[in-house]
Amino acid sequence: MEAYRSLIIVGCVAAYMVLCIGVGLWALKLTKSTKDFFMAGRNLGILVTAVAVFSSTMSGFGFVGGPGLVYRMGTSSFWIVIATSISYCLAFYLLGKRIRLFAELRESVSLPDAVAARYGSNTTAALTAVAILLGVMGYLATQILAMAITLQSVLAGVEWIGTIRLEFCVAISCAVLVFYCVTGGIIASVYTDLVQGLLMMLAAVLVFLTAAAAVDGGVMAMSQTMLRDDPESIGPWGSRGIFCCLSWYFLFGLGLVGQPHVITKMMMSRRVSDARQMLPLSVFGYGVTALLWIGIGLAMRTLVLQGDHTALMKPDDAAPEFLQSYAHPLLAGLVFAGLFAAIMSTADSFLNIGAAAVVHDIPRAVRGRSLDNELFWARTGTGVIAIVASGFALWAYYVSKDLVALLGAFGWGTFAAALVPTVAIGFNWKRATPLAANVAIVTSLVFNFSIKLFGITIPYAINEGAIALLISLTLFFGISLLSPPPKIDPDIDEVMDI
Amino acid sequence: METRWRFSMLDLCLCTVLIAMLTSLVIPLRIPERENSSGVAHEQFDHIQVGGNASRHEPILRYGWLYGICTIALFIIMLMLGLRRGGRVGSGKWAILLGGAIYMCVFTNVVTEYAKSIRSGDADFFGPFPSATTWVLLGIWIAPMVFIAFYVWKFREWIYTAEDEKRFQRLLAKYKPSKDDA
Repeated sequence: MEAYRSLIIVGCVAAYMVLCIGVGLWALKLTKSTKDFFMAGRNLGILVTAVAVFSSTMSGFGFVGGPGLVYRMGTSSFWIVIATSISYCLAFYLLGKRIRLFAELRESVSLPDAVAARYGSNTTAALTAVAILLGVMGYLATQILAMAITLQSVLAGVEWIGTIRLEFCVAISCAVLVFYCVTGGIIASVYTDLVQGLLMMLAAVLVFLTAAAAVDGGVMAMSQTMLRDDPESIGPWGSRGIFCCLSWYFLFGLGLVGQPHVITKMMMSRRVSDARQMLPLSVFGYGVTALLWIGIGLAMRTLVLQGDHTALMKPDDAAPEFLQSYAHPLLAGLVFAGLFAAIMSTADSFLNIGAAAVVHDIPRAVRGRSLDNELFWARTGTGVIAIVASGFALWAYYVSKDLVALLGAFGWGTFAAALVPTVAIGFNWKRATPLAANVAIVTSLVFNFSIKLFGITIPYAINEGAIALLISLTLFFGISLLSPPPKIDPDIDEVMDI
Repeated sequence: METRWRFSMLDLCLCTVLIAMLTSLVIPLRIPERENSSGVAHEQFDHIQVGGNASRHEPILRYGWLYGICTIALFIIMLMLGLRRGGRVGSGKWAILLGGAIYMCVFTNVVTEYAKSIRSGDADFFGPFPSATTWVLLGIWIAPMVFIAFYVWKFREWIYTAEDEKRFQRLLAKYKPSKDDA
C-alpha cells in the first residue's frame, strides 16, 4: 500500500471534491430565492448549523498553521486553541438568540442588514459591509493560495503527473469551490461544511493517536524532550511569553463574536431555541479537531529535537511532513482531504458573505433598496469575487507577497476590533450609538492597516489585533456613554428586551 | 427623547475593567524588555524558537496576571450582558459570578504554579505536562464548560423563556405584516 501512497492521497482528495460538486448540484434545487442563497431559508437543523459554526472557525490556518506554531514556539499557541471554549460561550450568550430574533423580525439576509436594523443607519451598515469585504478579499486570497499550493504538492507526488503550474491548481480548486457556491449558495456551503466538519473530526482523532505513537513514550516523552531542550517551550507560555499568549487568549476569546462568517450562521437556524444544543456541539467539534493542531505540532518538534527527523524548511511543513512520513497512506489521504475541507469550509463562507456585501448590502446602503433579480446577481457576484480573489492571490504570489500579508491583516483581528463592539455589544446594549459603531469600525481598519503598513512591532509580542480590539471597545463605550441615548426603532427596541 | 446620562452597574464595571486592561498593558512597556522576552532562535535548529530562562518573566509576571484576570472579568461581564433584559441581569447573575470566580482561581493557579517553578528551578509534573501547563489545558480550557452547562440547563429560564417566545410571536404579528404590506 505504501507504494501507492501518492495515488491514494490524490484519490481521497478527488473523491472529496466530487462529493462537494454533488452537494452543489443537490443544493441547486433547494435555492430559489436570495433568502435561500444567503440564509439557507433560515431552515437549518441543529447539527448542520453547529457543525457549520465550528468548521467555519477551523480554517486551513488551524490545520496547517496551528501545528507549525507549536513546532516553532512550543505551547504558546495552545492559548489560541483553549480560547475556543469561552469564545463559543460568548458568541452564544451574546448573539445566539439576539441575532436570530433580529433576522426573523426584519428578514435580514446578511450581517450588515441586521446592523442596519439595529442602528437605523445606512452608514454603519455600509461600513460593516466594507470591513467585511476587505477582510474577505484578504482571507479568500490566502485560502485560495493555500488550496492551490497543497494541491500542487499532492499532485507532484504522483510520478506521471509531476509538478504542474500553480495557475492550473488555482483553476482546479477554485472551479470546485465556485461550482458549489454558485449553484447552491449557503445551502451547499453549510452541507459541505457538515461533511467537512465530520471529516476533520475523524482525521484529527486518528492523527492525534498516530502522533502519540510516533514518539516512543507518547505525550509524556514529548514533554520530557522539550523540557530538557528548553523548559520554557513546554511551560504555560511557550517561547513567546505571557503577554503574547494572553493577548491571543483575549483576541481569540472575544474576537469570535466579531467573525462574520461564523455569526452569520447563527441567523440560519430553524428555531431560536436551537442555540441551546448548538453551543455544546460546536465546542465539542472544535475541541476534537484541535487535537490535530496540538498532536502534530508537539510530535514534530520532539522528533526534530531527538534527531529522528531532519529540521523543517519552514514551520508550516509540520503537518504535511508528518503525514507523508508517519501516517498510514489511507490516513494521510483522509487528512489531506480534511485539509481541503478545512480550507474550503472557511473559503465558501467568505465567498458567500462577500457576495452578500457586494450585491446586497452596499447597494442597499447606497440606493436604499436591493438590486432587481438579486439571486442572479448573487450567483454572478460569487463567481466574480472568486475570480478576483484568485487573480489577486496569483499576482501577490508572483509579484508582491507583502500585499497578501497586508490584506491578511484584515483578518481575524480587524473583524474582531470592528464587529465585536458594533455587533456583539451593540445588539445587547441600547446605549450603543451609530457614531460609536462607525468610530469603532474605522479605528480598527486604520489601526490594523497602519501596524502592518509601517511595520510597527509591539513589545513583549503583544498581538496588535488585541490592542486594536481593546482600543475600539474603549472608544465604543466612551462615545456611547458620553452621547445622548440613541433613538431605536420600536420593534428593535422591544426585541432587545427579550 | 431622554438625554439624561444614566450608567448601570454593568456599564461601570465594564469601563473599570477596560481601563485596568489598558493599564496592565501600558505599565510593562516602561520595564526594559529582556532579549528573550518573546523568544529567541534555537541554537541548533532553524525555525524553532526557545524561551530560555524563566526569569525573563519575573519583572512582568504580576502585570501578566492582572491582564489575565481583567480579561476573564471582561468575559464574565460580556456573558452577563448577554443575559441582561430590560436593564436587569436576572437570577443568572450569581451563577455566572460563581463560574467566573472559579475561572479566575484556575488562572491564578496557573500563574502561581509557574512562579513556583521559577523559584525552585524545577518543573513538577501533573499528568503528561509540567503542572502549570496541565492547568492551562485541563483548567483554562475546561473552566468555561460551566457556562455551557448553565446555557443548556437554564436556557428556558435565563435565555429564552416560554413567555419570551410568546412575546416574540406577538412582535412578529404586530410589526411584520405592516412591513410586508409596505
